[in-house]
Amino acid sequence: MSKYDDMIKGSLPKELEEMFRKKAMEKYGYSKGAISKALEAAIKLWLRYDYELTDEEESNNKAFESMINELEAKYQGMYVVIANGKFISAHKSLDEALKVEKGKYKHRIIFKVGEKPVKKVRLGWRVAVKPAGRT
Amino acid sequence: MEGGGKACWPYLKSDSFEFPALGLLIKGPLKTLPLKESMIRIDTGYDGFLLLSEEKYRRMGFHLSELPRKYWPEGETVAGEIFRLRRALTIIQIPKLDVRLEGYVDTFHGNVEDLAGLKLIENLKLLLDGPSLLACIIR
Repeated sequence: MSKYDDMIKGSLPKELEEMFRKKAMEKYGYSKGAISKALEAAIKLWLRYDYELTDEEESNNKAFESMINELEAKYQGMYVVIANGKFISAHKSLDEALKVEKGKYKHRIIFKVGEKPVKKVRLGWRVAVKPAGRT
Repeated sequence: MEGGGKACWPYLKSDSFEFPALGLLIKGPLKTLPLKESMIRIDTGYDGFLLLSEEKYRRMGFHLSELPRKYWPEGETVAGEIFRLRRALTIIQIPKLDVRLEGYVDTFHGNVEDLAGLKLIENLKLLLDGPSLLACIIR
């Protein structure tokens, strides 16, 4: 039994499909399995790239988006806690904000109002990644 | 190893190389990582503060101090792979030197490394004593 027995059907824009086939052949040669190998690599990359949010994470992030202007006006420089889809508290210190009532929340957002982190990070010479699955 | 306003830790061995590492108390919402687990390799190629394995990030409860998703950055490996990082707030301490720093802890899908990055060491006076295989923080 081959590792490529399972099939996925879908459709792509013509231009993308042609580009994908061309790249697959360049990388894996003009053999029968080239497209499957390239598809496997592409899906693994996509699965690994981003995070799916849980309902609770989604709801906390929506709350953040809806409140950010108000929080910036009221709590500049303070640590704000959002959980259960709503504003919980604002603190002067991170130690205070980190305190958790055990078992009460599965996810919380904490951030320092007004502080916006960089959008891109180099991950370093030593980063090692666990394989995403069979290769 | 401490004394005279200096705290030192032996290099960590990995494969056939020795790497400078720091002993940090890392505070998460659910757990402070014990010192014996907190020998963190210094990596000047990582320009964040602290990178933790997915397993440690989860175990220490960093899902309870996460930044809004809007502020999660993208991370790029030296091989050009790009990942979305999860990012949370943390406090690290070096008790013997009375050092306390606030910063971000990052992780991403499949990450098994713990690294101290440029943002963390920019706050410290470091001495890398290669011949003695010691990394030291000086007050």
